[in-house]
Amino acid sequence: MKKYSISMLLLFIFSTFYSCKKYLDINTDPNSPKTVTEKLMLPAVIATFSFEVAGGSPARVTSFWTKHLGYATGGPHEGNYRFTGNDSDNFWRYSSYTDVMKTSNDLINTAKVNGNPAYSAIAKVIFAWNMSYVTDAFGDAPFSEAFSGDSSVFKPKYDTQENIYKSIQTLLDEAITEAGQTTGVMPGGEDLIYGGDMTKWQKLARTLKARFHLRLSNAPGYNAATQANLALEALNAGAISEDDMPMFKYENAPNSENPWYQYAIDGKWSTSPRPSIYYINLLKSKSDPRLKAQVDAVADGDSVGLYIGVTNDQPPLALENYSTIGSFYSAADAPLYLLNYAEVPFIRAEAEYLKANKTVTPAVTTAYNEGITASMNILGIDDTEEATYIAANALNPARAYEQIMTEKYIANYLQFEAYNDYRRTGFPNLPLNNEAYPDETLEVEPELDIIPLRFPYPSSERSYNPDNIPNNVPAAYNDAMKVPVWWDGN
Amino acid sequence: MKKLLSSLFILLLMAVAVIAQERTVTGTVTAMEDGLPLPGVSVKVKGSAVGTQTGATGNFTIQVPGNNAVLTFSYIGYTGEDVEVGSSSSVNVVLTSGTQQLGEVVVTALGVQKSKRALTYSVQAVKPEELVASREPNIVNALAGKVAGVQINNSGGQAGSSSRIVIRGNTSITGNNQPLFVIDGIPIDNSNNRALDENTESALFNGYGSNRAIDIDPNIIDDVTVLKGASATALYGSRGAFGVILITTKKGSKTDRKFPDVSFSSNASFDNAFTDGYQSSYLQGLNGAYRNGLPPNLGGYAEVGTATQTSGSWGPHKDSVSQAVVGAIGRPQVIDPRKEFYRTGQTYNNFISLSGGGDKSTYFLSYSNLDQQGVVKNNTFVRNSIQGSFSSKLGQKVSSTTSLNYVASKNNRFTEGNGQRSYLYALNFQPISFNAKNVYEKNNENAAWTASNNFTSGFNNPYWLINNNSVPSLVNRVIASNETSLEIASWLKLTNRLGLDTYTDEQQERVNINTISVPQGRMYEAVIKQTQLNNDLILSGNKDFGDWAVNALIGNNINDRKYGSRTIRGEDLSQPGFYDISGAISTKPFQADSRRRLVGMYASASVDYKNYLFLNATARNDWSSTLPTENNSFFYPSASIGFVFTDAFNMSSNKYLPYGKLRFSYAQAGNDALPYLTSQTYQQANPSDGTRGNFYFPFGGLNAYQTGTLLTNNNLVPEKVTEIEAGADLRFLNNRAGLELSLYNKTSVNQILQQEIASSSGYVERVINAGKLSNQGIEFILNASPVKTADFSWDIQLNYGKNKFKLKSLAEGVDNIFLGGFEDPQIRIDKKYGYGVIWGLGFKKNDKDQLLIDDEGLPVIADDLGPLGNVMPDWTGGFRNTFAYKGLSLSTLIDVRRGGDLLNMDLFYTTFYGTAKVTENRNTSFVYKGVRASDGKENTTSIVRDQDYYRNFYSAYSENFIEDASFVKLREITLAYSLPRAVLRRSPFSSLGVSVTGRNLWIDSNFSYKDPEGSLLGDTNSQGFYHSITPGTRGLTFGINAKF
Repeated sequence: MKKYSISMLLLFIFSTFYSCKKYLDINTDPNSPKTVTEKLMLPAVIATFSFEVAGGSPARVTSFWTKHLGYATGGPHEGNYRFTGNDSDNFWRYSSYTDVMKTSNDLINTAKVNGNPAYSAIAKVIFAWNMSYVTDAFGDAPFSEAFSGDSSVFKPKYDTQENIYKSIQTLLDEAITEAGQTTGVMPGGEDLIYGGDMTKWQKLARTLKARFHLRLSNAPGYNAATQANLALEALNAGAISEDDMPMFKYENAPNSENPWYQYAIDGKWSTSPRPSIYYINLLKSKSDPRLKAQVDAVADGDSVGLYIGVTNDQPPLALENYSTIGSFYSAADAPLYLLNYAEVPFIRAEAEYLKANKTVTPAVTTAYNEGITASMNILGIDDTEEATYIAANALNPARAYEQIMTEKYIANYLQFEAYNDYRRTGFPNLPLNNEAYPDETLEVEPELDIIPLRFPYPSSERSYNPDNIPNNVPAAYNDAMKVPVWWDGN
Repeated sequence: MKKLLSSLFILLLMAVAVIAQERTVTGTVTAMEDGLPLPGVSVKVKGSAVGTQTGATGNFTIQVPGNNAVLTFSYIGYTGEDVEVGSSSSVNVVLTSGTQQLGEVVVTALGVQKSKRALTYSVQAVKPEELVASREPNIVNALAGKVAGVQINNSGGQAGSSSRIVIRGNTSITGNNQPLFVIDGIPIDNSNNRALDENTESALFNGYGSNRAIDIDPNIIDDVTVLKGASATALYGSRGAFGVILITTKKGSKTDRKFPDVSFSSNASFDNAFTDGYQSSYLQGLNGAYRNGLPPNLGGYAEVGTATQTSGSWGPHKDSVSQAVVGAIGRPQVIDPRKEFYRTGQTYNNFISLSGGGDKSTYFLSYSNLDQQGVVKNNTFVRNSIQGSFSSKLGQKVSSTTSLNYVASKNNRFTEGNGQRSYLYALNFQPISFNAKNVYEKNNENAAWTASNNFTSGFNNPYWLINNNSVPSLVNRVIASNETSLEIASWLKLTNRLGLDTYTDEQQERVNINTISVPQGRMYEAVIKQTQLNNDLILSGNKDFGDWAVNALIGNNINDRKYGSRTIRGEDLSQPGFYDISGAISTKPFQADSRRRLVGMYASASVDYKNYLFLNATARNDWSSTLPTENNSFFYPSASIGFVFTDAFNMSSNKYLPYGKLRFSYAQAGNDALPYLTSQTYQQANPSDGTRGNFYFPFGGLNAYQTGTLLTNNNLVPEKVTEIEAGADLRFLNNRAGLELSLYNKTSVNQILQQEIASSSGYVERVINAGKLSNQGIEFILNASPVKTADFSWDIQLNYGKNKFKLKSLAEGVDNIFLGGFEDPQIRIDKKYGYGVIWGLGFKKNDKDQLLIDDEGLPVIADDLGPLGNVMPDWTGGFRNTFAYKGLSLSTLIDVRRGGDLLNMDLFYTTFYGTAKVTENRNTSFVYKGVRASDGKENTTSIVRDQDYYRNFYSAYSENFIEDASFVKLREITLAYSLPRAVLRRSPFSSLGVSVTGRNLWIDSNFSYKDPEGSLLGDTNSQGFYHSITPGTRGLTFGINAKF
């Protein structure tokens, strides 16, 4: 009996051991797939780029700095330039380097292995485009060594902005080539921008190429006229038309709504971001018919029907007494324009102007008028108003550059590009965000005495990759924001 | 593996057969006070189901096995005694009422009973009456102040709040650091479950619910033993790396009565919240001008200008309100909003048990009901617990005990933390001149002191919130266990212990339509399931030969833990107050699963020589499913020695030092990883920007996955902890005083970390093995009985623990690990500054640590975030005094925590809004102590602490929110009276007692809210983050207990 029990025990123990390996082989996460197809990665890249980048933090923050909006609440906050490395962190850390760009890299690699160049082309456009946001906001940034954590590169070195822009142009060229190939699987509905129309992606890539050539018009060692020519070349190769505007169509259903709606309208975050007094006055001063499309009139209270802007300070009245962002941009189901088509004629106008050594040629005038027309068409302004406005705002050779850029600034309402153009050209000549409300005193002074010239490097890079951050940019956010990026030769 | 097995058997073979027989022991139990025999005293063979009761003359007869039996005598109102029978056949026992003696026998790992003298490491037992006397619904809180070297942190005053327990410091950088709870040999879950993960809904904006040890009913506990060091827990392997709390539940004993023994107790508690910390002088307004906070259509008024609302309490002093205001709207009423808001919490706890047994079997049945109505209206915690325990002899050689515990815990909790949905986020900022209750009741709307006409902006009204929103949870839990022993030979026993701990936690969120920040309302319905199956098969043997005694065991452990949660979240509700998921316009499901398994083989051998030299060795090998297959096996040994020098050198008759033992131990413990850290995955894309917006997939019939942001690691190895412990147990003066001293040094290496990295690498975190940290400490327990006469006794117990944490290295190039909070402020582990560093923006100091002051008289702001404080205390201690006179006893427990800071993030807001106590000194001038940055001379420039100073300077820098977390608390004071048996003799009662207990009646602390125990981040590693949590409470409990 005794012996029997012991041998039973031994048997039990050994059988436990031999089945042990299989018994323990359960460490596979049931909630997350180990591999996914291009079809699943593409919508992730596009939707994240649209929601978090083109309609996200860089556009929102700079819309206060370019005075499209004001942040109507007691400071300090980004509206009066309190924007720290902590505040810039999400845009860099999650939106850009991981969610959009790392996934784009994976998508490009997967598409290469599987021989699906169309997916690779789209991923390269988004990748290049997102990288332009990063470098425009921060300057030098990791690129050639980035996205290589799986090869044990945890502290990538920073590439210069000049090299980043070279790489961006290369990526876009590759995208144009790959988009023209007909091999492999073609994307369909999961291309949330163009539904798999690769010609449109080629046009978009060329448009971006033009934008980025012009970006370097003032860059050290670059010539404005040369850049203008390069931009025109890209446009002439076939840019987007109004019908090809890249947009993301949001829906009026919870968690499917337009990012501006969620940010500024629905009340889940704040309803403080509203059109600024400066911007409303600018449009009013020019009797610009776009006012009623870009800004919604006050809906409630004593000022119903009026256009009343805010500043970056606590308003004396409850927020309902001020205008909101026009529902064209901020309705729950408003599409987000990743790029406003009006930019194309304005790029042309500026390029022609620079090419002609800053003189107004017929080509400049034509493109300038086309820009205004496009901008108004998109907003549904009728032709008479359009004509009146164009007549009243004809190009004056003495201030043509300012006029072109100001019109582009209005067309690029709520676009990050308006901030880039402002830094590059200095137009429009924006005042500091230190205005008080009429008959009130300013409660919190702005943190900087100039409009910020860049984003401070994010706190996570300061913590985990500090040695590679260029040392011309101080760690203190308010000092950092006074350092221009490389192309900002102004 | 085969090698290991054979070595296990060699260990086993050291235990050689000897035949022992059951034999009869008789005796009498008398009372110390009057020498009269005590009837109805429970007599049990410790560790078995065998038991009986004394008869009318105090006599008993019991069968005991072998010569190592220990008899446990217990009787209500009297201190239990454990007596080693040895070879004698008669045992006479004198029981003392109320007071406590040094327990002689303790439970150790795997339920093995050991005499205290044979211990070679530190363990500490807590008596059941001490647990019950604390009147804490959460067992973890009931241990506070009672165990040396154990730190308890209650997370706040809401009913059902969690509590954290850490033994001998934080052993792991990112592991949970809390001990394993084991009930009757079965490991049970002590998780804090959340229906949505941290990425979806950060705890910063929600707070935490209960830790699940709250399901344990203290009434059914017979003994709690805390195994502190790695030697004590070695046999639990990786599960015991953070210490073990061993709980033994009550069992029945043999009785000759017709009816079962019935035990009954009933308590009622009344608690009040601490509401310190707010100014009571200044009214709502700005720049000294009054505003009444109502929107224009509800009678809004402003002394100056048109804005009738403001978040600020920067209006006039209550005694200098202008005539203009009085004339226009009358003198504003002043209230204490916090005091008005909190009610007297009430807790009712009723318990009844039936127990008894015959020759072959015994039983214990109990039911208890705890009904806690918290200090916030509608905050409740209700626990119903049914326990049944049945022990039987299944024939000559087999005995079996089955226990079944069913618990239903129901909690109705409110969101705490940063953000509008938290009632504290409004309440703590409420001006003293704004009656939120009246406004809510009058308008039945969510209107607060910053409301707009249509109540769509400003703060939520706290009264509206607690009547509309909540986060309920219902746990249904079954803990079932069976232990069956087969006596293979008289010296050899095979025991199988199978346990199941399984529960469902049904959680809900209810956020009503019109909640500011969630205007359309939202909800979730979640079911969380946790199941843990554990089996231990143990072959144990023991034998004495001559002066030597050998005990040995080998065993196998299989542990399987499964977790699953299913949450469906609904947003944009259709109908106020309607919370069926069908009413949500948008729904999104969330699913999370994990499963882990562990297989262990272990062996232990103890040898003692002449009962004064004790040697103990253990070995365990674990195989874990969470580690890479090639590295999933880990082995850890322990060895320890105890030496009773007083016996060895024949000093036991020495009056001054009759007993002295020195002990020394060395042990290693391992720890495995969390599941699923070894292979790379993709995650569903969820574009979002925190609270600024969210975009869900599937969208338009499409789904989307992106690269996972965690870089996994297929080369992980287990974490390893090595602990050396030395100690001494001394007793003095005829055993009237005793000292137990322990010194330990614990080193942890190869920590498994999810380390944050630069995301330009393409990942946000990576999994690594890195880091080396140590915890060194000292603990002592001092017992004394200064007075002990027949009628009166005075007992003292003092315990003390001091732990020093040192981070020797982190991962290469890594200086810190984020634990919780915001970027500024946050709680982190820092290479230079240790565990639990409060990190944020502070003031610049020179190298003499003097504050640098600018020419305007204000401190210069530091260039970068830096260390502002540390949440870890220097030492903790408990001091208990028990006085007993006949049936009357008075017991006090003073709990002390010294050193350590907390971050009171409420001050960020309350100094801006002007409700904080510190702002009461507004408009006074002040000279910062420090040196001028410009010329290094002492600062003499005075500043005025006005509205502008508080709003734009004081509230802007985290350094101003650091507070001292030290406290001295009268944690418990209990006055109890047991009726004399002479009085009861003619009643149906065998005992009857009444008691009154005070909880936290006195606190000495510098913390502005008085009770510094609290943590928004629950029982997680990031302690010390105090923000928008329900304050601590104090109260009185009235109790009655009876036995018949």
